[in-house]
Amino acid sequence: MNPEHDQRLKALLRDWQPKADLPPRFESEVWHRIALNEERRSSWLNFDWLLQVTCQPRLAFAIVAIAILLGTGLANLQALRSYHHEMAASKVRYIQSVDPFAKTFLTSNQ
Amino acid sequence: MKRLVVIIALALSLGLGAYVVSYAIARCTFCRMPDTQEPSSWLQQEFHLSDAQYSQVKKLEVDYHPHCVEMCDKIKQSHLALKNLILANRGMTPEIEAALQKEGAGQAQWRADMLRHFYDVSQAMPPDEGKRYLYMMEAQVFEPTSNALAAPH
Repeated sequence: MNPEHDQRLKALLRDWQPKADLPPRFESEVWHRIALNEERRSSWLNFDWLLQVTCQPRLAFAIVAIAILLGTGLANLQALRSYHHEMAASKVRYIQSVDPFAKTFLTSNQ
Repeated sequence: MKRLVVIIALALSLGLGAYVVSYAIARCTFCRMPDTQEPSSWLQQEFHLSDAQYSQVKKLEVDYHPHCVEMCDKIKQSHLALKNLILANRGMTPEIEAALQKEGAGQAQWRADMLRHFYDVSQAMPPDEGKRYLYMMEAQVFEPTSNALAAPH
């Protein structure tokens, strides 16, 4: 690099004064936002994330859809469990109705 | 915040609604419960019997029931007599031996009757289901109390 050019560039940079109109209390506002962001990130258990999620229609819809799917799935599971339980009990009832020994044994042991 | 509460309330109420509706639909369709007052209604559910087949099975059950009750009384009396004899004696006696033989003969009789009934019922079912029914019931002939005592918890 040409040393003469380098010195001219340095002098130019020294003289350069950018003219930007910053809003009042710009610096303190920036620090405030950084601090707020740090605070939110550190405590995600305060459900702020949920607040943010529900502000997005797609995610809010997904929450409702998952609740419906969960309700349907749990209901089917519960119905199947009751069904198997009831069928097993009905089988025992049937056997007791046709097997005199089972009937005798059970009544004599009650 | 209001939006969050509304969405959670909506999710909970729709989830609960879906649960109630799905449960009701399941119980009315693929999880229909057999009639608890009618022991043989289990057969219709378990072995997929048509109404005609079920009514035939029901008729067999109705015909068999008085005999089953009679057998039940005989077994009870025989058990009681044997029990009294065992407790009244301090050793083996000819009476106990006779009572044991009577008990054995009675058991053979009710086993044969029960098996006959199982055959009759299985013949009223579609062949494959009849086979499955016999397979399930033969345990009763060998181990009468095994299924009856295995009540679900």
